[in-house]
Amino acid sequence: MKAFTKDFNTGKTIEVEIPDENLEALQALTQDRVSDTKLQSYIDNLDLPADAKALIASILKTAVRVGEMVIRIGKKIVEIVIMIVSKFPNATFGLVLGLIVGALVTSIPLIGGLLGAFVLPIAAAFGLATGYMDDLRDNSLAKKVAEASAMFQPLKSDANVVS
Amino acid sequence: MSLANDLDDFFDQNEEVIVNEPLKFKAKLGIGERAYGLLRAREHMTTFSEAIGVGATGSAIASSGAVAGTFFASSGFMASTLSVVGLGTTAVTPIGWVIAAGVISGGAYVGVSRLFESSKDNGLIVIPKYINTPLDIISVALIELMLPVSLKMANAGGSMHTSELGAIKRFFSEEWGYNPSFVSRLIDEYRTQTDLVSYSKLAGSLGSYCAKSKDCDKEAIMTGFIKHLREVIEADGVIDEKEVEELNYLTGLLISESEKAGGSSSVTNALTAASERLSQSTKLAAGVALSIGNATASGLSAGTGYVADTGKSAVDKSSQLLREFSESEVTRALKTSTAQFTNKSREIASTGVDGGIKYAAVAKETTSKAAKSLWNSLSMKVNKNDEGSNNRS
Repeated sequence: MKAFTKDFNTGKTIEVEIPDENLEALQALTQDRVSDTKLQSYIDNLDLPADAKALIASILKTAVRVGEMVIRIGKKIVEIVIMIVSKFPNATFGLVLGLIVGALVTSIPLIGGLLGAFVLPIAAAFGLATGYMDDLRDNSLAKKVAEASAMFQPLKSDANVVS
Repeated sequence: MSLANDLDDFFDQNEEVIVNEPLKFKAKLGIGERAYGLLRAREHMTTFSEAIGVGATGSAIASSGAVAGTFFASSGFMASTLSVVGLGTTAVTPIGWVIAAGVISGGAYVGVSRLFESSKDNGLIVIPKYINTPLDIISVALIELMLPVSLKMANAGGSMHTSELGAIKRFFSEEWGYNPSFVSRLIDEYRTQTDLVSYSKLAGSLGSYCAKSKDCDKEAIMTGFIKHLREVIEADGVIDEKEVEELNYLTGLLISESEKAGGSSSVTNALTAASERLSQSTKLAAGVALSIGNATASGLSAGTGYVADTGKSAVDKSSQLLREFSESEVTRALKTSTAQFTNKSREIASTGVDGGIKYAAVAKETTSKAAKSLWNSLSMKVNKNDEGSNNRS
């Protein structure tokens, strides 16, 4: 089963071969838990500058196509971040977003191409210093971030740039 | 609990929505593209760099032979203009004049850019997709500052009319995009406590909130609010003097708050204009009322006069006929006409002032027809009598 997305920087199509046994796990990622309107309302209520919210809106638009399915990676990530921030009031939205996007970009080549371009703007918009991932002291938060990262692992495969 | 379960639980919660239509709300804030700090910085840079570019071009032109003569002129428009800006005596070398030309051209360009920016503001409504303050926080803050004032203003005439309440609900739900049930709940909570509301405190808080918030355009919010209060006052069709006094007082407070917070004269002007529109509408309403009063009085006077004249004429005719014919067709006709006339007069009395003019006209027509018919009948009878007397003689 082939998965496709576009490299955000170059605009080139990235293709990966996903094992068929990952299909069920990938279908779970297509499940919509919240409407776009409600998600917008959550974003509207974040205590963040308008520029940062606009950046989150750009992340929301990112998606990959796997066979006949479309997985809205960005929406899924934002859903997870909003939920985690509500559970860990001391963790800022920017920190959790940076941690998850950073983890996914480095571990999943397909997402690396898709979200790699967002890493620096996220760090700049949310004031994250270099090495912010090392500052994670809360084990339960680290566990949630790891779980979130694991959720996308079925997309892990070597990527080929096709065009 | 797994991450998937956490997500399900979190997004299953149904929280009360305060703003149903966020774009309407953000539009009413009047902040436009200034909501975005980065965009704001970029816009300033662009204007400044453009100004530098144009300034440099201005300098290049100034150093050319054709323009140099103009700048070095010892008299005339340029000489006096440069003296006014303090350059007439200090720029003694050509390079000084070239720099001066650059500065003046650049300054003129920035001025023109601002002019275009202001016309852009008037020609477009720019709604930022996102603002800096959490939407629920800013929306609750603003409605809690404005709604009590609206309710107190509606109550200023002594009672709160349903149409005034409707105007308040429409303003917050339809214009600002608040959830109507949230607005109704707040109205129910505040409407019995309007006596506790202090205009000066709320005007102070509204002014200072708008001044401090990065997401509020003070001018847009305050003038919009004054216009709304004017609509509330006018909603029941009666402009109470106390309501007008209170609105003028509140406008004065908002102007003073704006000036205290270092607000520009545009805010003061906009608030004054909003208030003046009220004065104009009050004058208009008074004018209309006066015209209606005059028309009614005139109509009644004309109607009463006509009724009196027609009645007198009818009485004269009847008397004449009764003297000549004790019981005849003419007498019966007169009785019928008089009964019709009486009925119409009764209708005038019962329908009141509004219908008076109309019924006076109807009465005039009816009585006129009756009198004419009576007169014709009378003339025929008189002629017949005359013919009979002639024949007999």
